[in-house]
Amino acid sequence: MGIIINLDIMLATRKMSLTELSEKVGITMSNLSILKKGKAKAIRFSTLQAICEVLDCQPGDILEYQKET
Amino acid sequence: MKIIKPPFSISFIYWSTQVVFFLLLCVAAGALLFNILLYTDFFGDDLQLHTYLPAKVDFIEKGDLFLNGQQVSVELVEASTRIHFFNTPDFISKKIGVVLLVVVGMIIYLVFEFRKFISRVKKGIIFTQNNIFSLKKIAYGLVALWIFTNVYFRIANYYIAANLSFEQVRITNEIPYYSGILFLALFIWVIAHIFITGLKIQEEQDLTV
Repeated sequence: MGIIINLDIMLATRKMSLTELSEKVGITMSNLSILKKGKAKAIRFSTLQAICEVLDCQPGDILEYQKET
Repeated sequence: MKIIKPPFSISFIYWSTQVVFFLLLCVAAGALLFNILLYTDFFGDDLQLHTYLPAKVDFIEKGDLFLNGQQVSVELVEASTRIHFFNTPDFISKKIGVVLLVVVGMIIYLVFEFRKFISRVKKGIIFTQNNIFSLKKIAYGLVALWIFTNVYFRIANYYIAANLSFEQVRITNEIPYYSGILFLALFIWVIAHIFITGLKIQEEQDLTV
């Protein structure tokens, strides 16, 4: 599994839609969708910072490491 | 979608390729017509062909070179040449016709692939699988062309050049290798591999949020 993106959980707890996050963070929907689906190969610190600011959370709340089985 | 204007050099290469491709199509049509006329015996015994002689000739011709106001005595000693048939025998003209068709066909294929490649580059589509395939096809095509021309030259040398005799001129058995084509193929093959790395970086960049 490796790195898991918990963006959908964070959005659900904040009752925020992906479109709203996209507008507040200033990232395109397609890029956020790539991130949410776990297809992203890398994430910029600036993106992570912007998401954490909007969702008022820590990077660890969004990113999670799971050992590959 | 934002359209990026391609640099002048790319546009120039693109339009030059279009012109070359069109001219090559005309040459191919000419080569095809020539073969049809050959095989329908249109020329009869009157066909006079000029063909490249895949051998060098040794001869001595004295002359002068005028350079910087000085006259220097020189000698011409070696040259590549062409052979002229007054009445081209049927078995030679037909072979030359087929070789012409094959070579023109191969060159058209190479230019066609390059045209597709440069057209995509002009549109800003650079690091793609299609471009890598095009570059590899061009590289392998050049190798095939090099092999074909070398085999043909050796056969032609064996059958024609080796059996020619002149009073003043000596035919040597030196056959040109055209290794430049092989180096060009190698260079394009290396570029194809650079494009493979470029594609990987591009994909990573596209998936970086």
